[in-house]
Amino acid sequence: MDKTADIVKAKCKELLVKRMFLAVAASIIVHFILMSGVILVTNLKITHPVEWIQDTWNVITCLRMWTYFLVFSMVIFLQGIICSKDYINPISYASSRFVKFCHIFTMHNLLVGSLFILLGGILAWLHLSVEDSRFSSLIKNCETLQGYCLVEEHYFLLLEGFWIGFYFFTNFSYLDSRNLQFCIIPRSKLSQVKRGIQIMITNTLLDAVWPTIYFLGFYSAFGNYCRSFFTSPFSLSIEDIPLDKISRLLSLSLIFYAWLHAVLFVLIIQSMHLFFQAYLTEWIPFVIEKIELTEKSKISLADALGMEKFPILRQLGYLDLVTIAQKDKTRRSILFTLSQPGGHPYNWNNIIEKSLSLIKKFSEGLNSACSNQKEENPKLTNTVPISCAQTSDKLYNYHMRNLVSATPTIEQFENKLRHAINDAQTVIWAADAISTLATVSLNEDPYGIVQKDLPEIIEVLLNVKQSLDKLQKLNISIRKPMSDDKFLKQTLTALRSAVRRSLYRIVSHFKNYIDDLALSPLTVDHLQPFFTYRE
Amino acid sequence: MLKILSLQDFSFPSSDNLITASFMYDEPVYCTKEELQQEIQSFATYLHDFPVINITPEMLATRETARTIGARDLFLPVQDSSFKKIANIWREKGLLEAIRAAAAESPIEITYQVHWLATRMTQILDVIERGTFWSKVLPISGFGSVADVISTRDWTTALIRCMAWHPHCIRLAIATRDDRIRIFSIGNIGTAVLRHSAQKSVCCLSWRPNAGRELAAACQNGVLIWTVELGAASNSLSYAYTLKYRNHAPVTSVSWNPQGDLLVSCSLTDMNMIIWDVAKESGIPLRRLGGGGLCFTHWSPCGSRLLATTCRKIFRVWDIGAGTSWKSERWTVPNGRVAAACFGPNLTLLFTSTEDPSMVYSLPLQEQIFDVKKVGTLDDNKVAIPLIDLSKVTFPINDEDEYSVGGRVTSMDWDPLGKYLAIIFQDSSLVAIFKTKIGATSRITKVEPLCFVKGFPGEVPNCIQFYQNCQEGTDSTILTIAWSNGFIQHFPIVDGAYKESNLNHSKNVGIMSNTFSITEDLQTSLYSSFSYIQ
Repeated sequence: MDKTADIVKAKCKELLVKRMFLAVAASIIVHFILMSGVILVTNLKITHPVEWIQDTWNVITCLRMWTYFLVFSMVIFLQGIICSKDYINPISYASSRFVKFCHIFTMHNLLVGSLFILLGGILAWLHLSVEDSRFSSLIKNCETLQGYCLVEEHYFLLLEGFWIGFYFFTNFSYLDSRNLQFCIIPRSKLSQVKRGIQIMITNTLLDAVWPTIYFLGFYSAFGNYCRSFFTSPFSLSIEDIPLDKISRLLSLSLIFYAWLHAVLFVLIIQSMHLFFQAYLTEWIPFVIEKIELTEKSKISLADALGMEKFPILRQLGYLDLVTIAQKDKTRRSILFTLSQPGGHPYNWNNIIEKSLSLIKKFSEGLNSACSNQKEENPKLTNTVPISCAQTSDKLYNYHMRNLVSATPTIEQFENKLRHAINDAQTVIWAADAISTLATVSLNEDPYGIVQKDLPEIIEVLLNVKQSLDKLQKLNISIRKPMSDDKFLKQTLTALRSAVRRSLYRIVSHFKNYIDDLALSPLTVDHLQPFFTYRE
Repeated sequence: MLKILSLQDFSFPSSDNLITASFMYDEPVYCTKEELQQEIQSFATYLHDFPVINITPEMLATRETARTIGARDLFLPVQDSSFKKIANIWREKGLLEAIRAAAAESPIEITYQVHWLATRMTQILDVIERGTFWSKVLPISGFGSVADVISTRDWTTALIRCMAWHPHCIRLAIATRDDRIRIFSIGNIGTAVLRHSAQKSVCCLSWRPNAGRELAAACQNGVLIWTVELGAASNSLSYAYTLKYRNHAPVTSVSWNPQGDLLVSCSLTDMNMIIWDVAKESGIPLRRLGGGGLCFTHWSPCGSRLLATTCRKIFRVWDIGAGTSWKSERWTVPNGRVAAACFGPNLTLLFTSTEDPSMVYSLPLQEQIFDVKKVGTLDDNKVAIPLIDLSKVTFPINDEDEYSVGGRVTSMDWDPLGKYLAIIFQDSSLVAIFKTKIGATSRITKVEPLCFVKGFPGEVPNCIQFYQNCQEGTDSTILTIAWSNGFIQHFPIVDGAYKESNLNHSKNVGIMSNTFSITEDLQTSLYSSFSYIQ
């Protein structure tokens, strides 16, 4: 048993690694195009257009550029490989902001951080050395003095590169940007990335402003130390006025380069995310029939649905399931067949069991988040009447303590919720898929294998609906309203409408047979608003 | 030899002051205005749950009645300081909105300097916005205007601008000229009236399938998604939010896919159609070059095809595919643009263009893998076949007057089971209903005229829709017609086949059995032989 599980896991990993490799390769290519564009713009000579194109061509095709770019792509590649871990592993639960903060200091994250910093530095170095400008080298021969002099602009931009890496590492790792969003309709990878970059580009231009300003401020204050840190060990001299003088620091071209590097850095990181998203979320048609596993066989749908270790693969599994249910009649018919020999509906059983247990687990998660909150709430309200007027001091203290303690519990509740919601997309697909399969079974299921599970499907869906309703009520009753988390709100709305949709689907198809399903009277009661379309 | 049905094949009632009340067992039932109530009693079994609706101009909101009690009036107004207000707007809507809000405040409240700065910045923002928001000026009337492309006759002046049946139950949404939407439900439990500041010039309504109370409305500035609280007492409890997209206004059409998870909207000024993820309030633009802005979109009942028509000759049929990206198939009409179109069962598409003389074409979209005769010939099932000739014909009533019917089509609707097709025209006061039959391979095997529906004298039909939740096996189909005086007629069509024998059927006047192509023969004979055995 263990062995088959291992094979499946290895296969999943192989599939994901292949996709991620392609994503990294694509993002390197895009960055090369991006860089050529930047060189084209910075070389701009309006009066000599032919020369301009020629110069750019020469820069792009020269060996130096390629050698430098090779170094750069190595770093991007490393970065991609290391970041990919974040995409395939389950997201860990952080109960509070402090825990979340502590999560930054893991070995893996520190490695990612140092790669970010390195990438920032290399980006600046690459652009500075390739582009034909005044500060293309760090050291030059002094004109007025003996020996070598420091080109401080180069040094400044290099330092700024490292700073950008650090700045965006802290920004991204705290904000959890590793969330893969599935597109609502299947689209080609190219159009996904194209649109993603279109949306991203205006934001990026603004995002890059702040770190540049911070660094300018920092350098005007501590530029002196930074400079001597580098010049003294190599006994370099300074020819020009030092850069930490405001008059020199506010040079337009310097600020432009600093800002440009920040923009490019964000573009690399974000486009890499886009590529990961486009490649990893691409639909895979899994095989439905579970066959004996050998080294060559493919991953079956049931395996994918049960893959808790790689959430992304499980999501792909449910995406395929909902595609089968709604759009693919021929593959659907395999689901409704019996095994040969034996005559057991293994295909269906495997799938329904996994889907239902996923939904059940999800509603349990929601319930536990709610119940925690409920326990806290009575404490706040019940004890108030007990305290009498004579103990007003105590009461006052008590309220003060509540004020202090109330916030963390709400935060905890929200974090718990947020963690539970990670599975939301999967649950939406599972609900949509099993309800659609149940409705099409009326016409397409020749052996009636879906029928036996129908009462359970209805009950499980009703349970999630009730948990979601409870959550909504709780949300209204909490003193401090739910924090302004758009993502959380929208996901809950999506979940609510998906679960309702699934129940409506079943009810509108089985309206006339509902008495034959042997549902408990309570369930039928709960279904009542669905019969009258008033839910 | 292919014979195309024409409007000449209809029989016409002779008397002028009779209206058509229903179609019962192979013949239309006529009555006078006074007899109508009595006549309705006779087919009450088919209509007993349907709401009785009569919208009068007095019901519409005027400026005075527009101010009634809303949720806002139930709470005491809160006086916040201007800075707090601006900070709130910043937090909720972003910096740009905050700057605009600051510019709108009085300068005494927020100091003159801040106000000066805010007004200047607002001016700059306006200039930028004018530059980036490419907006095409639409003609107010005539060809290419909003009123021209919408499937409502005289949309600008009509009392009822559009209506939509709920896909699963008796629940009708009606948008009126006063920019309100009224929801009529089973058994008249009180009408919900929906109003919203963004709800202007409603062009199209669509109920969300697999949901009870969600309604999308295409408005001047975007799409409104309503969650309707039923019953009259809860008017202020219904709530809506707007979906907006750059350069995507006025929205002329909205339609939910049959699964109820995607919403498609389109606009005359925008070449993109937007696929909305309504919960996330985000849309994905889908575009193909050519054709200009989009007029309307329709989903096929199975959800595997989406029709999108442009303002010019081109229209597209999108194939949703299984898990791969959507593919569009490009079609053109010879002249004008597609005036109206509808999907029937088995992926049959009917459409008609604005050209004269107009003609209804059918387009079978189903892949016919078992069509043996197709092998060798190049995809010949993908050909639009002329079905009904809608050239204008006139029927004399008496010596002076005559009724004309035909010409440019305003709206066309096919009932969900594909049994009846109803058409209204731009210059005719009649609704033409045809009886249709579709083969299993998405071809229409039979079209014959059923009857004309005539309203009260001087009335014209504004919009039509079949009741959506007809169950298979029932003998009645209901067509809802909104007349120009605000009367909503539920027109029952009761199938005669249940009552009378087939023999009786054949003596009916205008039967026209159209066999469209020679390749059809094999299939029709196959299927009809089965039906004879039964």
